[in-house]
Amino acid sequence: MRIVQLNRRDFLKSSILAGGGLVLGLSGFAKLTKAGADSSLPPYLYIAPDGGIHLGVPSAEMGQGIHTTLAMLLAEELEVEMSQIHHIETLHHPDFKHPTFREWTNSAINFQITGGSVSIRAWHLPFRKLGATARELLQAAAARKWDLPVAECRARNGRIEHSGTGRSLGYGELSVSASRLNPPENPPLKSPEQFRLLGRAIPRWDTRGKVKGTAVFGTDVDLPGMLYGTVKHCVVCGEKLTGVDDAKAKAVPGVIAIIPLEDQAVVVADSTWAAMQGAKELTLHTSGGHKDLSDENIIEQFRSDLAKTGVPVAHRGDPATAMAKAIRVMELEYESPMQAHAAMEPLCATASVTPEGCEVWAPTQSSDFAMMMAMGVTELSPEKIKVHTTYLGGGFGRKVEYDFITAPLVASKVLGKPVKITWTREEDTRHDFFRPPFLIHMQFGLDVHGMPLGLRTKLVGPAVSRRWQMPPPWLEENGYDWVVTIGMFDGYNLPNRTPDLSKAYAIPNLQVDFVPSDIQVPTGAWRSIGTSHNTFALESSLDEVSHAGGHDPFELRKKLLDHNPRALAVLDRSAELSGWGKAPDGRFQGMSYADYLETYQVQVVEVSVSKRGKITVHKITCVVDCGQVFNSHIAKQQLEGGILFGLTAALKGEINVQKGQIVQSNYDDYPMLKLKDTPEIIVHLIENHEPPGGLGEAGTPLIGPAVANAVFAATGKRVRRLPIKRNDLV
Amino acid sequence: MTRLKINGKQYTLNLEPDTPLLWALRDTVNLTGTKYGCGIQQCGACTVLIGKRPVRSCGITVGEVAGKDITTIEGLSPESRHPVQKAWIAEQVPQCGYCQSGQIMAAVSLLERKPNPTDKEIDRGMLNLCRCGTYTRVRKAIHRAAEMMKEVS
Repeated sequence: MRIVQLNRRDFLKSSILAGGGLVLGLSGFAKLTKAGADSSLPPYLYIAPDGGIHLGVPSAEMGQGIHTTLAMLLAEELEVEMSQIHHIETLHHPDFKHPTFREWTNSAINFQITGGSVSIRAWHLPFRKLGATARELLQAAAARKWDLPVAECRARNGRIEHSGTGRSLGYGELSVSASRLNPPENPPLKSPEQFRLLGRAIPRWDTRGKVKGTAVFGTDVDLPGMLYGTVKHCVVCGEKLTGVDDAKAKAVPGVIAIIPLEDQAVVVADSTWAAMQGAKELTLHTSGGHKDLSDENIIEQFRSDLAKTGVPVAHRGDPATAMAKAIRVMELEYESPMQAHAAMEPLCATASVTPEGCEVWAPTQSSDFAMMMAMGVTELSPEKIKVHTTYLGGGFGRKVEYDFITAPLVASKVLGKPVKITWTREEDTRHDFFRPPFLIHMQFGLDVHGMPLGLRTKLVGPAVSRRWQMPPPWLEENGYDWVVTIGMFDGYNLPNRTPDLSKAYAIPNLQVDFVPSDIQVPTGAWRSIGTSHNTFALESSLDEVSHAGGHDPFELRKKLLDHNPRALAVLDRSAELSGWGKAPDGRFQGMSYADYLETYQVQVVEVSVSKRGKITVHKITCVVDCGQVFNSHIAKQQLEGGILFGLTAALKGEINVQKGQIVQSNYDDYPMLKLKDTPEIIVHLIENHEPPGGLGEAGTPLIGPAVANAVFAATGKRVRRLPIKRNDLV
Repeated sequence: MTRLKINGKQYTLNLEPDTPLLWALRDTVNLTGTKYGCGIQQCGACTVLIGKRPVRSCGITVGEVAGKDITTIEGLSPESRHPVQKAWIAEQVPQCGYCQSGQIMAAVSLLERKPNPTDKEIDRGMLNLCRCGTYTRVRKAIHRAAEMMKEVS
């Protein structure tokens, strides 16, 4: 990535930049510009005359701490303390299109997106380079000012110092002169031994605002003259809105307008409460809809589709012969129901549309998608549209969708005022893009030692990415959906790559097939995507294989991962740390392993189960090798959080559909884990300098099978579907 | 007209008495630190203090709290120096942060009633939901705040 000096003249309109200062952008694409040309781009690193650093970053902050980590990466090379970072925001910028998604999809997906646990791998080097570039420029500026050799000028703690004479200048004093110099092509980057900040438990930058109540989420945007609103969707999946009876709604004090859209009505008022009361009084007339849709007929469809051949996802050796030669064949089936994202912040967005321009404020995981929606509704060109990304009160994959950006845009365009739309919890729960339901069949062939000689598995469920506007190449060319097959020996089966099973379980004969079985309920990316249902099936079935073959579950994994030293290290450490095999009386252990995007992980769970089937989770031990850790607090937070997210889906609720309607609506019928349900969680990070893996989702897929395996150890009953129901254990 | 006393300040607001306090705080007075999570008193994101009592403000009306002392997260302490807020920072509790105003207000009230809470008392007193899973740190931070408050007194 090339660093370019952006023309600061064009930024003088902005009050922040009125005092001049060093302004840098990262550009792989923009050529070094002449004065005045192509400088409508906002800067993403600005060093103000007072030395304060203002940073624009590509990723949305949804709790994963990415604002802090990216700032740390910059601060490390720039030689500043975190206290010198005065401002961080998610910036919508053409240079911030996600390189990893671009690589994975042959550029079919070339957008600014936050998701998939790939922010760090995409941006850690560019942000270090950005910091190093600024450092070099500041050093050069000081050297010029003092007329001394650059080699004698050192950056330290926000100042450039000259060792010989004891002179020093602050970055703020140097920023204007630094802005006149040419950025170096390849500034030196530190080696890990030199890290001052990276790897440490540095406090998050956003904690203070979140503890004071001043952090601005999507729900909190406030503009002069702003109206408030909410939405009411048609209830049955696939229904369209044909009309509304709105007399009663309009009679609610404060209600200003009812605007019908294709599948929902927007209620606008002078307050959110009035809008929500108005929505209650609104009657929708609808047509169509899949009124016969139910959980029962979905699973029936999956069972029937199990007989279909399916599309190959992974293949190794000769599975048919292996099954024929096997001493014992095990046929195992697992089911995963739908789950909702249920972020604490319900869907919301704000738009201000005029004939001249449009501004959107949204807790979005993709400012590019928000931009596209704004272009569609307003018919304005992109230069006239500005997208602001607020903090997200949780995303988990829901806020990458752009459906919720529509209503405020339409309402503002129609009414000529800014409008903030807030969904009710009921609408948020019912009109989700749910984790897809899946049925997975595993056929294991065991040899005389009880080791798996062959595995044939069929994954039956919807192709989530078929809905995307830009169908990814894995779907178009190969016919399978990587979003739902990831985690079952997919080996990164992406375009331009041969599937790489070299780090996967060494089962010599293997066939994984995907049978796309589409349903009418909207489905989408739910934290850890396909790894969620696939790891449940794989790690539960390997537990069954262990017991059938007389192997300890850890020993089986170690034998199958003998070629993978990082996996072995994680297995050994977790067995030791969790006290595997030494659970106290009345407590039983279960484990699971996964490699999710080069993060190697084991979870061990200790449970007890009462005679009435009540499960108590006492302790969770999680050992992770995710390569280089940049902030150990944040890494642990993400693993703890991912674990509890997955534990909720293992023990609490699920999403059902009956008569074409989603049954659940709020936290009373879709319960969440509470503090009192939370066990002791021990997270151990293995330290190394390998390339960073992903952590945002990593904790989620392992906990379900680990709990299920522990429950088996406790009760002898095999769990084939999560969440676990008490009655199944009695 | 409704009279509300919020964070020590008097407000006279043109609101129906059956307006939930939550929405008066957020939309009328523009104190957006108190959050909407569910509207049915299940999640606690809207927790404020009425006097010393923790109340889910989505479930109480402005008519019911007229004249009472209402404290929101913004009024807890200038510069977020309340021991609970300091403990929250020290233990690095918040992830997305959306539920945290409510968690903090509930914790403040718990410590007021039980200055040295046991884990079981924390279990019973902290029913606020957190989807990001910050619970283990919430627990640690409450213990830490209790320590800090003990040292001061």
